[in-house]
Amino acid sequence: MKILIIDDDEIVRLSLKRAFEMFSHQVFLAACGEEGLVLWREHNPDTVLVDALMPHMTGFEVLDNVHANSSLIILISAFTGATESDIHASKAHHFIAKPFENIIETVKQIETMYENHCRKI
Amino acid sequence: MLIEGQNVLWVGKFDLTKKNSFLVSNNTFYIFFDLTDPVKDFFSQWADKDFKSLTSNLFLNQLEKQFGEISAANKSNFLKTFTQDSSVELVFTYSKGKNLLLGDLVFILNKGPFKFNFIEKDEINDYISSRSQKNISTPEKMSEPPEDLKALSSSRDDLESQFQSQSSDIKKFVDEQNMRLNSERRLVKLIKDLAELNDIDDLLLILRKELKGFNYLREPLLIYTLDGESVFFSQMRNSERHEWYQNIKLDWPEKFTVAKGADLANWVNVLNRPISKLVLLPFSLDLSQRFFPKAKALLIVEDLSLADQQALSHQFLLDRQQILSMSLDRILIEYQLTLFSYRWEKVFDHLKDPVAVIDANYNVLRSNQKFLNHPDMQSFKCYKVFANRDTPCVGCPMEIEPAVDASVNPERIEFNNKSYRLLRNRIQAPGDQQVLYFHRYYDETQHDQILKTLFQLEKMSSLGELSGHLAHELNNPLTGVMALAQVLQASKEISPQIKKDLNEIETGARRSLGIIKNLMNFTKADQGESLIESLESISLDECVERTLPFLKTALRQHRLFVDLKTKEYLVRLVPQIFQQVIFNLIQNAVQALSEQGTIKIWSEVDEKNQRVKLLVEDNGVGIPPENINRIFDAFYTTKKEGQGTGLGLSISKQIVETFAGYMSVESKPGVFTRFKIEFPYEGSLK
Repeated sequence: MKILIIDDDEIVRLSLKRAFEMFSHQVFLAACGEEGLVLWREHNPDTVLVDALMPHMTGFEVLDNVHANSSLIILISAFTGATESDIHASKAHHFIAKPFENIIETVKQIETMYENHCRKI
Repeated sequence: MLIEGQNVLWVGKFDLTKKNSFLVSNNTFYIFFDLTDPVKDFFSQWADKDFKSLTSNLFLNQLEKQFGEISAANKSNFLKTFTQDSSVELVFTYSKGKNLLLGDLVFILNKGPFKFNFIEKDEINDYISSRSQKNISTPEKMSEPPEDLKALSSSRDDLESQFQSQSSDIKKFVDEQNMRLNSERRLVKLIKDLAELNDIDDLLLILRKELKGFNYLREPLLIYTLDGESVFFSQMRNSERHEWYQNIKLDWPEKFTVAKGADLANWVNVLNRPISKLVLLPFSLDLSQRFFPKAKALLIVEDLSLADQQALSHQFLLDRQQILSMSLDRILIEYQLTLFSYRWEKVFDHLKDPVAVIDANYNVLRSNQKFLNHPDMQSFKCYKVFANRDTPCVGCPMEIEPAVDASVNPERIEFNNKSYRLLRNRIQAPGDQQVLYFHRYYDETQHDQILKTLFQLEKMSSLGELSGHLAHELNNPLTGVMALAQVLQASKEISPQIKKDLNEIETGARRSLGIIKNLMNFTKADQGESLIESLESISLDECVERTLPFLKTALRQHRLFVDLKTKEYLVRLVPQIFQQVIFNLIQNAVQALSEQGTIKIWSEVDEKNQRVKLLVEDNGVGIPPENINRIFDAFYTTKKEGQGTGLGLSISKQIVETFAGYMSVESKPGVFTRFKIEFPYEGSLK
């Protein structure tokens, strides 16, 4: 599974990368929205994790600029980052709150989401 | 209807059992009328006609026609007196207290050829006797002496008559002198009496005494106005003064006047009483007119006297005009002054701020009730009666001299935890040496408190915002730390010892994240959500557990006992808001402990009343009974500056009540203070 992680916080990116790599997924990292959009087009990832609150370009703005594609899109945010209506209005398929209770579990959760996503398509 | 006596007619109903002995004068013919409607009608027939050129025959004929036959003797007597010197007098009698509008009658009579008078029915006797006395002295005829004696005595008679005429001149002179002396003595006595009088009652009583000698002058009536509109009428009746007032425009005479014609008719209407002759004695009110330019006063005396008595009584009144004026003037001014200061004092008393007039030596000359916090019979010093101090208040501007009538910049004085802004004006009357100060004190205690609280709230809110940002900033790195620690722990290449350490890292990060989460909830300002939307079902225990981590540092040096037993009982409230209450109560408990103390927090269930209770108790200084009622008042605080705003408990109580709860306090000074919060629970998880 090709995973694109768009998050402005380095340690969050790093921890997610390590966790996904443990399960042998291919991980691309972007530190901001603009970079994320470039990588998205370049690699056409299976799953995209995008942080809702980032400087310059927020996660929502990133999703507004994405053309229709088959990627599973998951919005991640701290508990005060976004409201439910914002998430519903966006192109995101799922929402996961930061901090993750257990990152290993989170990875497994995302794998399941992806399987379901593929089945739907 | 008509009864006759010699030279007298009684027209109407009269009780004549005693009056028949009426001693008739030779040159006056009296007709007494009972003042009834037929009598009024009788006279009103001349309203349009020329009453003055009325012939005696016509008058007699009409009288006979209306009221009954008159004997030939009286008719001829009447005609004789009428033609000789017109000494026919009409006397109208009326009952006391009756309202008689007789202006018209008086007007008609004034035009006519007759003398007339009005008297009350019960005055008839006095009237008759006053008229009769005049006629008592009928000269006695001496018998003629024999002829021969005449010659003998003629020379002696000459001498005697000379002597007598001289001595009678001297006697006359002495009498005149005595009279003048007497009248002047009376005047001096009057001046002395008037100088001592205090009010209009006294003045009227003195006047009554003065006029006693003239029994044909009635009780004087004093009329005065200050504004030219409200006119006061004052008269003694028996020993009581009757005063009434009317809004009326009057023609105030300039000088001593005997009211006649239309003038008299006007007065009769104003006074609403039948009056035949009025004497108007105006008073000059020079002093009063300085303050009340329209002030006027007038003494009205009803005059029943005959023509030859009038000169005497009028002179008597004129002699007294000036001294009476001065006395009345003084009384009116004094009274107005008293009224004036009374009203001013009331105005000051109604001010909500303390005010005082103070001299340069801190003596209070005048003040309102609000100023007299500590009335003291010994001391009139402002700092004593106002602040209960023995020295001037700290910050008193007495040393700073303001310019005349100007105020200095507001000064602040403080005592007894109260703070006042003092505005001060210098008062110095033109030509007066004494300098006084007018002090106004504005209580700014609450003003200060509100200001302090606003600062504090501002600080709190920026602190809340700051911690919100801080929490958010910490959230990301801690998320990474925790996640990385988890990833590493999952790795197979890591030794058990390192795994254990990584687990510690994970736990620490998790705890930090938990604190941050709580902190963000706690400081989360209301984000547009209404209170009702934010209501949750939660146990009090849970709320306490969420709050305690924030107080760990504050609680560190004290012993804390927590005993929560109501986890299964849920109440409806907004936890973030209610946490503030718990936070406040524990914070308060900590602040009440000066050294190491004990704080107990416990919860209990009252199943019978379906209530849960949360109690917070400390063994600190306690609350004295006199303060316990004020403990929930806004801005009430006994804490040192900077420690509290005096709002914590007040807001806490409001919060608890918002969620249908009840908050109370109990304290034993030096032993414990216990706050109790009660809520109805909505259900049990049990």
